[in-house]
Amino acid sequence: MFLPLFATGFNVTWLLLPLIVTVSLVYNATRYELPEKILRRALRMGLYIFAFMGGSMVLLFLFS
Amino acid sequence: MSSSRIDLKNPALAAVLAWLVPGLGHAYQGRWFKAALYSICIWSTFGCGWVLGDGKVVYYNTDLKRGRRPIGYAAQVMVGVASLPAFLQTSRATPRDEMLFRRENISLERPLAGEIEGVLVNAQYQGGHGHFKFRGQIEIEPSTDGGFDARSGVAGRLTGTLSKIDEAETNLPDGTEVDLKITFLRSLEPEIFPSPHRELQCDVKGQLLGPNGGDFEAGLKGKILNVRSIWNRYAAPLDAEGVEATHGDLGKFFEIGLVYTWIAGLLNLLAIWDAYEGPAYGYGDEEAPPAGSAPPPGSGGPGSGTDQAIAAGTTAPATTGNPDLIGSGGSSGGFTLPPTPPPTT
Repeated sequence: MFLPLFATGFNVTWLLLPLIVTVSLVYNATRYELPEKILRRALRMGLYIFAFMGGSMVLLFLFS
Repeated sequence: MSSSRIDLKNPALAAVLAWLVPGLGHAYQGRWFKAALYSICIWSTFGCGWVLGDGKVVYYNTDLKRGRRPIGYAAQVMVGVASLPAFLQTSRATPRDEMLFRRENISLERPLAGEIEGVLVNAQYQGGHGHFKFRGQIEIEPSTDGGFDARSGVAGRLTGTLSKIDEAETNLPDGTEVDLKITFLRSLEPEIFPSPHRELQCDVKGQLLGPNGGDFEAGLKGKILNVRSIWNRYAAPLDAEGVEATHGDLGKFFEIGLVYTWIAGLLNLLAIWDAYEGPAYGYGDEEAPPAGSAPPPGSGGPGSGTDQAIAAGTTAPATTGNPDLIGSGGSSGGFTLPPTPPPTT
């Protein structure tokens, strides 16, 4: 049942990516109705989150 | 104030459907893009969490003895049918007024047979001793006459082959066959438990078969493979020992699986609200009014006409929630700003 991939040195940071995608899409779908608008805003929000998380990671890495 | 652009039909029913099956409420309203989007995003997030947590992350109780409840279930339950069975499984696993959901309370409901793998520890046999891997078949059944041990109330038989764990430890060749009987059943996982395999620990005694024949006695720690049906394991409660063992097996992936299912539930909460109220900011193709101009009637949402009317000190149009909706039974009521008093000089 448990995926062997995850048992062997898989970097869990990658698991943030699907969360960023789904959170961005679902959140923006609750804001608007037009598919194009939803997708455009979701892309923008996803990039913001990715940049924020990436920046935080770099900062933490530097401080560590 | 309404428009025919979004027909929410019966918003309460849509919300209930969206809760029960993510995406279904929007499909009922004919909002197919959103139905697909919510369905794919929420189900896949929940499913990923379930897989990452080895199917053990959705449960309602952990430790009945101390009355603990996992607070994360409050988020998981927002995914509706995927998590509601946990209530049922908890009631199935724990009869009222009894504290049976403990592994020490061995309870074998019906005969059990299947493939087993495990380790035979402290094996004693003619001419040596040691530890062995064991793989074979097991049959156990509730004992009608007290069995081999009246305390466990279970009789059982195992047949299979041994293989060495430590090459230097024993002179028995790999593949040696054994025929064993359970003399004492130490523990048996509950029937309702979130794993396809059912663990047991017991003492066994019997015969080595073949040229190395002779008495054989050992302790067995193993699991009967794929013996639980999906009905007996889906969303079944984990006891404290199960949580500990799962942490040991999965490490951080157990926590990540939990978080994924929680996020899926919280996202569906947003989707439920969308099914009930419609999109928060409007349809999405409204033109932003030019600066300084009067707002278009009924344009709600942040930064839209109402806000500008407030900023300009004019009277905002009365609105009954989102202007793009019809059938928005749960909309918040509109409001009208009081007239601006004349400037004093």
